[in-house]
Amino acid sequence: MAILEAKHIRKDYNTINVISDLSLEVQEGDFTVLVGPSGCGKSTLLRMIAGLEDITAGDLLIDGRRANDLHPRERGISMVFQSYALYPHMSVHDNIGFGLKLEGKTKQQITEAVREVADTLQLTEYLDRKPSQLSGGQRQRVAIGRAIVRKPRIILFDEPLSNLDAKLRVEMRMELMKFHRSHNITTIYVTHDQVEAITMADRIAVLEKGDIRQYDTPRILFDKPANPFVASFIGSPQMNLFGVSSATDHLVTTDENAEIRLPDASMALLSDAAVIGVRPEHLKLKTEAAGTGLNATVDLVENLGDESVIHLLAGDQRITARSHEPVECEIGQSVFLGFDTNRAHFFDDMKERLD
Amino acid sequence: MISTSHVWLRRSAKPMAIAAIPAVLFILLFIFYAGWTIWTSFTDLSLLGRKSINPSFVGFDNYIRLITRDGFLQSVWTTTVFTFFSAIVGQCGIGLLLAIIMKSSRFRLKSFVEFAILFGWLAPDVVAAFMWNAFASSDGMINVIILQPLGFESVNLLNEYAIEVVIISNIWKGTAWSYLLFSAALDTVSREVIEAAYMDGANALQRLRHVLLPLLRAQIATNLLFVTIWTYAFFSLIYALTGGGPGRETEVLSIYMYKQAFDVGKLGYGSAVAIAMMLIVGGLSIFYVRQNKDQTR
Repeated sequence: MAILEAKHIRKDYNTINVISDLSLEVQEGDFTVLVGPSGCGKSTLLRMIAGLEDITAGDLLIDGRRANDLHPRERGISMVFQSYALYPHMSVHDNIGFGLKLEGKTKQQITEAVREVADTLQLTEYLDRKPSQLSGGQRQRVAIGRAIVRKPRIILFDEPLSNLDAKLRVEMRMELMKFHRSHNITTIYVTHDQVEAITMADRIAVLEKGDIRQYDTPRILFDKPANPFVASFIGSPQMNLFGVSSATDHLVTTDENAEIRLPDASMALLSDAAVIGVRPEHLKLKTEAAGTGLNATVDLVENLGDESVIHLLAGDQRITARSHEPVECEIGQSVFLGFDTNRAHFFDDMKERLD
Repeated sequence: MISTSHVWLRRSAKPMAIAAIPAVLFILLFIFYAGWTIWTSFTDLSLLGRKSINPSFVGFDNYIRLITRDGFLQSVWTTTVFTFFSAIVGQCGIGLLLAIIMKSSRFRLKSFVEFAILFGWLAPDVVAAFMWNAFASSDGMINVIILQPLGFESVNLLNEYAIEVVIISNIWKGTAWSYLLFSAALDTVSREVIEAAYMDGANALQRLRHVLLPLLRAQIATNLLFVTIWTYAFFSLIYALTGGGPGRETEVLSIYMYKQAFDVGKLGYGSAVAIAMMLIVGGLSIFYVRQNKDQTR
């Protein structure tokens, strides 16, 4: 059942339109990630769901009830902020219990609730400390504690890992996933990091320019991106996209003057294709031309230990290939990049996927 | 202490020592005059007559007179009332409130309000005194525009409500400082923390009480220290507006001291009043600083 529905949401700041017509359904218990480049409207959408921004037009339904004009507390929503936004003058105990205190709960009720939350988040020994005396990971746990102590229906995260260093980010990502699995609270999580999105989400909404480009499971987003934007945004290094300039008899010339050889089988798709996408890991480096592929020149090889990322040039087209086997090639060397057309992605001139 | 890590400081020690000479001279000058005032307060030095040339040492006589005679204690009370209402409640309170309201206000309203309160601050004290005189006198603006059309008799507000007029004029004059200080202080408060309190269910008053005020505690204490010191020794506006009158109703300590020293001519007694003022303000400062330290600990 959908716990949250956004119907034709619009958001204007004075005369500037940020979101024009956005609809989204979030299922109960799901970990939903809103992902997109900066300025795509993901944080604005989250803040509208939270109740921190007015909704210009459209309806926000929570449990089927219109929530546009409800206070965050009445929406049953709590939020973990990017900076955690802990109250610096309060102890961990008071930070977590502040919302309960405002609700008029007794001291004993507050202490019990705080202790219970602190136990699950391993914060019990830090309850008397101030936020400034905690590590980044502990602060995040306090922020989560503050968010769950009132038993919300939905918990929102606004880029909570972006302030942490790389190692801690991976740890906290795992902790958040474990937390979600054990508590099963419906979660909406905003990030600009597609790796975070793919690893954590049950479903991902990819946003661009205030619009959802695709809303699906990570697997489908990766295997069947609905448009070139999603195709290039999900996956790292990003997918190679070739704009088709002309296609004649097994040979495609791209906008950047690369020539790709294709077998007959794909021609049905090809007649409509405006963009062809191939993921770097699906390009196979060969020294001689064979089957489907294109000729290119090696520009740079990045050796990452367990894999190599090879940057190449075909015409003016920049191409990235990835290989898990050791690559023996020199800069400037001419190579052939083969690929399986079944693993290539074809998009028409309306930027829709062809299948 | 200059440690080895401050290489840049160590290497420029010579020019810095030379640059410090004027500062040292000034400090010596301050010490000299402070010492002179303290010494004078133990004498019967006067402005005119024999005692202006040959003052004699009178011990604590001047200080004893502070307590045994009416004038001083009455002025302490007047100054305290004036400082409490015009500086602490008025300038600090209104300044903070305005800063909070204006933070989320639209640009035009904000510019208008800022211009209005800055105008009061920028106007010279004597000009401000003339303005308030024109405002509050029996044929002034309040009487002509408000009271007379409503059928009330003209009131000389400067006679009937002298301390109130003086307090209001000083609020008008000094709120800009507190407003500017608190505006800057508010910029240091994370917007997300306030939003977190909103998400936690705090209404505007609860956000102010439980989050904003504790976070601004240090700045509020510092500002209270400033405005108290300034207002406790404030002279020009009140002197130009009422001259301490009617009677002695608005005779704050600075005016009392001035009158005793230069109208009556008792420099020794005036110095004792000055030293007493300094002790009171010093005591208040220590109180504020202590408060601030305890709370930030």
